[in-house]
Formats: sequence, structure tokens, C-alpha cells
Amino acid sequence: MSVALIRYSYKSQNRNKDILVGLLFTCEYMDAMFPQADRSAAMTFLRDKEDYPWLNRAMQTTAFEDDDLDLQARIGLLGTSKEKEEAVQLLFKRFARPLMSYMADTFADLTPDERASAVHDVFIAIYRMAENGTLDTDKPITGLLFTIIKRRGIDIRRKNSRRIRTDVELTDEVGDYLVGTETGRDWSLAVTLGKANEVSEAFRQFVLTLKGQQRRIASVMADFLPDWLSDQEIAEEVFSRTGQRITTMEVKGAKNALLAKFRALLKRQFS
Amino acid sequence: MTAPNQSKDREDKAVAALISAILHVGEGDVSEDEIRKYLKSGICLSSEDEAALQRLGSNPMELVSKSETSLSGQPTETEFLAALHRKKPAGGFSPKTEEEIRKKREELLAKLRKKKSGH
Repeated sequence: MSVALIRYSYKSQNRNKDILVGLLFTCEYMDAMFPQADRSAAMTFLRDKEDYPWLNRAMQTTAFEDDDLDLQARIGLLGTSKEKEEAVQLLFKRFARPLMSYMADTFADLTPDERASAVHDVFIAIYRMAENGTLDTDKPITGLLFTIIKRRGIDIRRKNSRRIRTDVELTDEVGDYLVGTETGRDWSLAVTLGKANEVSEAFRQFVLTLKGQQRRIASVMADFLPDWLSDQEIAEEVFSRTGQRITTMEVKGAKNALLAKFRALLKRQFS
Repeated sequence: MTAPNQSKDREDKAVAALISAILHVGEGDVSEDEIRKYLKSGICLSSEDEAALQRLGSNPMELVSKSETSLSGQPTETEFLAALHRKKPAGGFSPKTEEEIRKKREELLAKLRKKKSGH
């Protein structure tokens, strides 16, 4: 069997990991060989790697096939009820797993069952939109699937929480915290140098590798500015979202670790 | 002069605010860039996610009848999803709308044929 392999090394929690990954390895193989955190990190590495021509070719092929499938599904969604159902099946077969993966990355605080229900809801929503004539078939469906599931995730999260404020409040007030701070100056410089996106993406990738409490606390921090919740309230929010009890000491520890990591990533841009 | 503790507290809050801004999941559309990485081959799900997806089966249409309860039972805050509760008119669409749908379908079919023939 011709298997293209990449040796992938990374450091995680003081452990040096060295694993081999390849596109032709099945998920079952990865499941058997490596724990979840290692698999996620390896897959992230693969996804982001642009230096492998064979990988790029494989990805381009998928993109062309997806364009055709999208078009085919839109045609079906304009047809009879049976054709609409078949189109939904076609979309489900191709996009259920990618949507589930997106949900796992974006809404780690939701349970697997909530995420899976959201995936199913998306396809039902598409069918309904096609039925009631609100589906815009001029635009590709793929983007819509991800947008619907994101909003569904936000809705479930809001249902699990009672404290989440509007997006506008959060984005409007972030700047106030940066004024007159060294962090604010560093961030401005990173923006000017075009490095801010790199820092943001590196931090998001770091959060994806976190497990358990740290990940849950990060997902709460994502919805609240520093003065909006005390450590005790963050612990309560984690409980209300996930049913997991944590202590304020654990909140403090996880927050400090996240702050330290972000500082290090930001400073690294200027070293 | 700002006390060292006060200054450290301000710096911590500034970093925490940036973290919130970066990790926050807003309601905007998901961009093509964000989507791209999920469309690549070799998606691996955790065993819990895999099991949850399998529990619901491979045909979302089986849930359509049940979903009347599921979707309407969980109030959604976005206008977007609220629009999904709109129903098709009982007597079907008007002849004009039906004609527009037919034309749109023909248009997309032609586009697909053209793509498949490589032009």
C-alpha cells in the first residue's frame, strides 16, 4: 500500500510526542493508535500544511467534487418532495461529519448529543426552507449549512446559559480594556505589522488542544469580558452549561494558564 | 502613580479581553476560509461524537415529523431560524412562483451539465 507519511512532532503538557500521520490512514487506525488530543493535533497539523503537493491535489479534487455536489443538491431542492429528500440525503452524507467536527471545535461546551442533534436540525432546516420557498438557490448550500449550525450552536449555548449578553456589548467594550496598557500597545503593533491574525489563529489552535476544565473555562471566557463574571460565577456558568462542577481555584488556574499562553504568543511576534 | 498590583490587574484584564474577542463565536456567517479546513479529507471525530451521530441514524428526513416538536420546542433567538417555522401556503405556491422555481431549476441543471461536459 502506498502511504504518504509525515512525521509529526509536537510538545504537549511536557510530553514530547512523535507520531506518524498519513491521509491513507483511516480514522479507525488513528482511534486505535492515538488518544483524542494527539489525533486532533495531528489532523490540525495536516489540515494547515500547505507544503505537500499530494495533499493540495487531494484537497482541490474534493473542492471540485463539492461544487458539483452543491449544485446537484440545489437542483434537487427545487424539485419534488422526493427529490428534495434525496438532495438532503446527499448533503447529509457529505457534510454530517464535517459539521460535527466544526461543532466539536466551536462548541466544546455542548454535549455530543446536543452537537449531533444540531447537525440533524441543519438538514431538516434546509428541507424546510426548500419546502417553504425561503432557500436561496443562487448561493451555494455549503456555506449556509455551516452558518445555520453555528447559529443553532449559539442558540443551544444561550439556552444553557442565562448570562450571555449580546455580541455588540462584547465587541464594543473590548477596546476599553486595552487603552493605556502594554498589552494594548503590543496588540496595536501586531495589527500594524499584520501579525494579529497569526496570533489569534495560533491561540485558537492552542485552545483546540485543551481538554476538560480548561477547555470549558475558555469557552465561558469567550462570552464574557473580564469584569462581567467573577471566578465563582465562571464556575457556576461552567456548571450551568455542562453540569460539571469546578472550584474557583481551578478557574483561577485555568485562566492564568490561558493568559500566560496568549502573552507568550503575542510576545513571540516581536522576538 | 499606578500601584504594581493595580497595573498587573489591568494588564491581565486586557489580555483576558483580547482572549474573549478572539474566541467569541459571533452570529455572523461562517466564512469560506473557516469552512475549508472541515471539507478536507480525513475528518476524525471523537468516539463520543461519532457515537452521538450514529445514535441519530443516517437519515435526517426520518426526524422531520418528530422535529415539529424538536425545533418548535426549543425557542431560538435568531430571526434566521425563526424563519424556518414559516409554512408553505396550504394550496401550494402561486403559478408564477412555481414557474420561477421551474426556471431556476432548469438554469441550475444547465450549469451542472456544462460543468460536467468540461466547458
